[in-house]
Amino acid sequence: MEETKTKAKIIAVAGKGGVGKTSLCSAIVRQLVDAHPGKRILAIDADPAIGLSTALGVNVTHTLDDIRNEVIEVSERGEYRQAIEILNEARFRIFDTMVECEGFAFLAIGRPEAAGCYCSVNSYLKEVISMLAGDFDYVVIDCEAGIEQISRRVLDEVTHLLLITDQSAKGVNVCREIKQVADELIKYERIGIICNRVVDPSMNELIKLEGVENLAFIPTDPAHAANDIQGKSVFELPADSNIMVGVHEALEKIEMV
Amino acid sequence: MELYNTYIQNTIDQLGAPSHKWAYSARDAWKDNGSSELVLLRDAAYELGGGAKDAVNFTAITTSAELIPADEVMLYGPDLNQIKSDVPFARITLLGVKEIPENEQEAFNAIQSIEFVKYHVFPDGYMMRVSPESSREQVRVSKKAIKKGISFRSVGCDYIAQYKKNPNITNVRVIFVTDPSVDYKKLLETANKVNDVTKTMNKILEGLPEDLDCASCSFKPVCDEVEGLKEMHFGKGGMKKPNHAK
Repeated sequence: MEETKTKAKIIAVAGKGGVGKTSLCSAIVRQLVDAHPGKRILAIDADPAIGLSTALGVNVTHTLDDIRNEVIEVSERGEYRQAIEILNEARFRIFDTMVECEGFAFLAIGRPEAAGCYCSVNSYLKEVISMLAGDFDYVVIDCEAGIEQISRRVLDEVTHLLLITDQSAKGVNVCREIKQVADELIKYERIGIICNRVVDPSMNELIKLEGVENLAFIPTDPAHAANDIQGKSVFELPADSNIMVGVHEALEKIEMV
Repeated sequence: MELYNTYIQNTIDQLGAPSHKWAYSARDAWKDNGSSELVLLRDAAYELGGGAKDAVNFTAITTSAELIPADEVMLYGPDLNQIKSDVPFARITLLGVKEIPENEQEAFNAIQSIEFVKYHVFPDGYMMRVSPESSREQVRVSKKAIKKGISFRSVGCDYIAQYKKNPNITNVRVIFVTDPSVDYKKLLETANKVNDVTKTMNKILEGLPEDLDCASCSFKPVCDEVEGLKEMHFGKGGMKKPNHAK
């Protein structure tokens, strides 16, 4: 284990909903676990749709939203707390929320029970990323679909932004929009796009974004579909499945594996 | 500063004679990382106060040199190298301090600088998690630190070294408890009372509304129980004497 804190590589996986973001995110976690045994890897499910835990085979009992609600409850009771106490209380509870698995740790942002704005829990997520990033070598974040978390600067500390699309104009447009916002708000080091669920390889040349490297084109993956329907985690997916091969290719290009 | 004296004396009486007692030596202090460190479960030998085990923490202050006559570390129960799995745990820090200034701002600053240390001791391979809400402290001790020879004596000396940087602190006694036969529930009761006093004192020193009606104040039960808090409140310049204290 490292003696001193190193700068974590923070990978945010973003894109339109329904393009297979969570599946690719879980494959990224598995690739990093396989390639870097002994390194500290944190997977964060920042998507309120809550799918990454299932994909990674993690049993989640507490989420960041639970902690946030408990902190709010104390403050609403009117009890006096100093900032340093609130911070330490949050840190104490975050470690109860973090699930430690074989090769990686896992945190879920959760789904706010109350209807309405999701931004407060996003602010909390930002603080948590900032608090924990220095303790890990790799942080992989499965982002909420769309641009919300980028525009709210939740992902300020992201070093690698991976945009996921399928072979649809809508998917590419959302990636373009995310890049435009990210260029203004995030000092990322590298950005790339992965095209998932490729049906017609001849259309791949249409997947282009200026200033964004094409990292992989991943054909529709029957092995993944079979794995998913049987409720198996990404760790049970054959290593030569389309998704695993494609994600490995993408991570090689950005020098993560 | 005698607000905590009863609780300090009760704790000393409850615990009795320690299994081990060491005088402070700066040379024996365990390496301090200066910032928090994450010890993952896979790297931890065990967790003090982990899981459902008892885990208690509190810090009490006194100006009485009789109660805290020297810098020392006390241990009740097995030492870090003797522990093989999660055990119940308590850390109690008793601080001897110079007279707290009467000026409210100076007093507030003095207390805050002492409180600051509580959350800023980071022994290498010894990851503390403190819950002010539940008065709990859990510690993951890394396998690597055990191999290097970490002990309660060295961790206690690190605490004392950090506290001694504060010129208001005269003596420090750090007490570690790992003996499963100790009444941790009683220690927790004391911890909760001590923490209530600290919260109340901080609130008073930070400033209360001048027209505050003590009868409606949530801290009234603490002020009623602990001698000295009302005096601290009344002593604030320009404040009206609360009705209930006549």
